[in-house]
Amino acid sequence: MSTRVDPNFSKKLEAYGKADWNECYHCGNCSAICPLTEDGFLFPRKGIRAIQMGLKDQLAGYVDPWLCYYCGECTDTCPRDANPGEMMMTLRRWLTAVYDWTGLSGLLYRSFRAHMAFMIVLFLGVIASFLVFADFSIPATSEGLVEINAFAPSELIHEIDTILLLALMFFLVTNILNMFIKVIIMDKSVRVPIYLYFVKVWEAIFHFGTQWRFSKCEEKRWYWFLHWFLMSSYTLMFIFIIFFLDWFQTDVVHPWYHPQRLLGYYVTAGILISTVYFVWNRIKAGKTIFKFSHHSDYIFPVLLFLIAFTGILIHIFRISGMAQATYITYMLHLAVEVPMVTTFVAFSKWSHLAYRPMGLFFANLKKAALQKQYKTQLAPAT
Amino acid sequence: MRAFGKGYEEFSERIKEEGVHLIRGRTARVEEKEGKLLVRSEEIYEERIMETKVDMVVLSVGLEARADAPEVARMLGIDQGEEGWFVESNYLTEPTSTFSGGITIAGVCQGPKDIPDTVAQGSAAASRVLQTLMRGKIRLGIKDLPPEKIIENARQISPLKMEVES
Repeated sequence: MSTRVDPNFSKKLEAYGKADWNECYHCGNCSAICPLTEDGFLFPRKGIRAIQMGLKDQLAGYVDPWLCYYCGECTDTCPRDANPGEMMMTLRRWLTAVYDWTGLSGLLYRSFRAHMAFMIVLFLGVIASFLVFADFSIPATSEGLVEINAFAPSELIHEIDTILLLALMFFLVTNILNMFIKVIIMDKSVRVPIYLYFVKVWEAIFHFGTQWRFSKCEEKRWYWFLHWFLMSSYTLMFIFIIFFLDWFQTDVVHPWYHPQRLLGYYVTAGILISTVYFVWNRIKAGKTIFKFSHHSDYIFPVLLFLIAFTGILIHIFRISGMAQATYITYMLHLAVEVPMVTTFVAFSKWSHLAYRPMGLFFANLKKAALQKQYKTQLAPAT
Repeated sequence: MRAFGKGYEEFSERIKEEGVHLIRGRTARVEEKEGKLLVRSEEIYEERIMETKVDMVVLSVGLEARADAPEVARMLGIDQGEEGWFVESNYLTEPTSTFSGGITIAGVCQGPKDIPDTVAQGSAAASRVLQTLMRGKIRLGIKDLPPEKIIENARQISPLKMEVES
């Protein structure tokens, strides 16, 4: 089998973050200090080796970046200041672009301007369509209630919502299929028996829900909790928007102890607290993990914050019966939400929500299949 | 893994035969476990994580320039490199001379080195000093040249006299 080498690979990688790892002299300190690495999935040193040698095709099927949660231990103890932790981060961005067959992901990651332009067009598009279709003149009802569903017809919103999400899900699922082909199918050294897929899938679901591996990163418990808080809030919100929009977005104001309101408060608190924490730390750039920030690392939490913030404003305005203010904030809320979802879910940082559990799933599959292969190979000899 | 210098390769081969295990990889952490020390590192060639139980860990420390090196450098008018070692005037052709005429350096003040290298450099420095003594003159260093004066005939100026003047 031939191996293709791309000598300019590290230059191409530069657009996805930091790229120069020629400092590394392969002492293996980073792999040995890592609390998550294990035999068969040794990272980050092997990744640096592959980047230095320009093994682009091998790296496309490299699943290890999704197993790393970036505690920063490797970068802190690196004797050469080669920053292996940031390498894993950069590789995650690059892999997202590799899995994405449309090529949009690479464009959004490489160019801050393209990302902003894309989002501004969508933002203006949403505002324009509101100005055309929605009726801002509807006053609050006699009981002081603001009916958002009368202002923007809920059937229409629901339909557009479904179409948009189905399209994005299509891209995300095809990207995951692409990842599956690159990681499992193209790797000729391992054959995964079908039954293993059913055995190992529960582990991936468990880790998706709890991010248990993340908490193994020592001294990062607080960070793990906030990340989990953000993830769970966002996932809940996402589920509401996709499946229960009718229940979640009603004109009825429930009492405060109603589950709909409690869940809403949980989601808002999770997003607000975590995004403020992450953005603040990135601006301060004190800890190793926050020292280097790609533009997507800022845009994503800032947009999430804006979504939650406008959500709160809608809630306040609606309860106090201010019709015009509610409509405008609702319009802004969607005008921020749509660009965020469109650019991030399938093509940028958000997609790690899908790639991480899939990466773990594939890694576990490979591990189990290899163990089985070795056992059958060794069996006659014993 | 190879050894540097004459004879060291044979030395490392011999100790391997005598039962010394050489592992390529930097020790990431040492933990105490059940009264023994657990050394964790990556075995680079076999691509696996190694955890070895040992009785004793010997730390090999790195070298750095002496704390009073800047003072000495200022006194003698010689330069220090980025990491504090004294700088020779030319690594290939003048390994013992400095930019100040009449000052020679040898040994670990110039950079970490082993005993044979130190001895060789010491001999070279001694012979450079003897040259000066036998000629009765000091060879000029770059620093001894006046910075903004064009010397038309350098031989007319006595180097010893210049030394006294500056």
